[in-house]
Amino acid sequence: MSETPTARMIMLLCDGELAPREAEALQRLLESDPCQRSRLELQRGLRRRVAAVLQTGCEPPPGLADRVRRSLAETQHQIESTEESPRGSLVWSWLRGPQRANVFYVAASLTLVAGAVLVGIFGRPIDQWRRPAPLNLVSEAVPYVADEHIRCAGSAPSRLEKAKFKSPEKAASKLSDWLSAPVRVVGMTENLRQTGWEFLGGGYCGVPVAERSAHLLYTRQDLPQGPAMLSIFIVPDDGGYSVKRWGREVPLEPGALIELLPGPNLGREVTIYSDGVLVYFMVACYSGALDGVPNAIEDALKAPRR
Amino acid sequence: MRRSIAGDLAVERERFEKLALEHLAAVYRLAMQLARHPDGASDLVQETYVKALRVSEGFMEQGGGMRPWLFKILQNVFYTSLAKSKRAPVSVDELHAAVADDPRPDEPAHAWDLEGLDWEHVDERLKSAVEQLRPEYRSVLLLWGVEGFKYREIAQIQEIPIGTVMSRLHRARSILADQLADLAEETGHKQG
Repeated sequence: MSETPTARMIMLLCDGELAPREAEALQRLLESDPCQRSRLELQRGLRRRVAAVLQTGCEPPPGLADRVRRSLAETQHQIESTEESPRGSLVWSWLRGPQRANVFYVAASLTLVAGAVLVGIFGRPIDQWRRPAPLNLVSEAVPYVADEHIRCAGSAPSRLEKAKFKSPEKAASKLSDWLSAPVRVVGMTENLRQTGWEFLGGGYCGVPVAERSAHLLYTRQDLPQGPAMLSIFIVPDDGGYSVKRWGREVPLEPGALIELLPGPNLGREVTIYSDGVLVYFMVACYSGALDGVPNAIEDALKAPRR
Repeated sequence: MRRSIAGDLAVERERFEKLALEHLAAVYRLAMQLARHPDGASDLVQETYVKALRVSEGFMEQGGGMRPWLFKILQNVFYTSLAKSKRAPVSVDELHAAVADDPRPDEPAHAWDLEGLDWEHVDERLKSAVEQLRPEYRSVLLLWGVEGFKYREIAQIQEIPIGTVMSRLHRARSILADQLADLAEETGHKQG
């Protein structure tokens, strides 16, 4: 050990990171040098005070544990709904086993390489390839937003959790960041207010697209059937969306507003609108409560009616 | 059959919830050091637990229980969201600061003159100095000072080399000690 311990050595001693023999030697050296010993004391004092300072005012807020529990329950619900079958999960867990997974990765890589070679030799030019089948929003997304709306309408805690951003401006700002696209909450709110809907709040959502959805909630008290809630779900428009109507696949075109009436596969009236960047799904509690809403939104977003 | 899967998941979730929520206070403390705001920290904690539940099948006990694993997820969640929100190019200052993270060679111990410093009354200055540190320094300080992790464990949680842990700790402590030296000098002048 050198005669003058470095800052690093003193730090290691203070943190208990030195080997016992080194620690002992350094301790001996420090005992004979009050100046160096004071540096060790400084490090120890600093550690005590830093620990105290970092703990002050960092207690979790009272409702956080319950909020986390609710999120976990919701996540479990989502996992259950996406779970295909026990057999499927067994196959998947087999594939995910560490050694089997390696075999799987190697096989997948070889298949990809072979596929690329074959496509290169026999394949058509890329501009002649067919586009993949469009994602059907009615079967893939709309039933989920309708269910999620019913869940929030019927549960005050779910509503409160979802409507975490109470002002339209904050909701617009936070949700635009979340979806990496400008969410038009403010314009909608002003327009919806004219039709009697009050903005309740907005928040992040896992429906219909996990981790990439937003949910806006509105309430209205003056309907003959009683108080009602309106949900607007927003997801990024990645293109390739379509809506199945009367047996035909209708592409979701930017600027078009599509109203889907309740039917065998759809328990609620849902209106869909895409501005080319985001897709908006509108669901209300009562059939007919959406009266005026599509028009208000159409006015706000200047969308041509389909 | 469907009911049995749901039942299993419910049991798993309850077990996970019980084990993971034991560390809520510690997870929140780290979230506060990273997010620096109670709302942001709460969001971060919620997202961390949801992510943890989703990947809980992959959790393997490596000593120390779930806490280091939750911290690791929290760090990843925070830096992923930061990367998403921060698309601006890195400033020259940030680049310099990043370079300063490299492990440093041994250097002589600083000669701070803290004689006469009243440790019980330094917290305000220390708090303000800690708040000015970069998140990666604050989180290393927390893992070291409050949670009591060893360098090796901090390196695993933060997925950085152990030398970087040491240099961050050294640098953070030097900054704090400099602040306290200033305080000692001010106090000395006042007393004098």
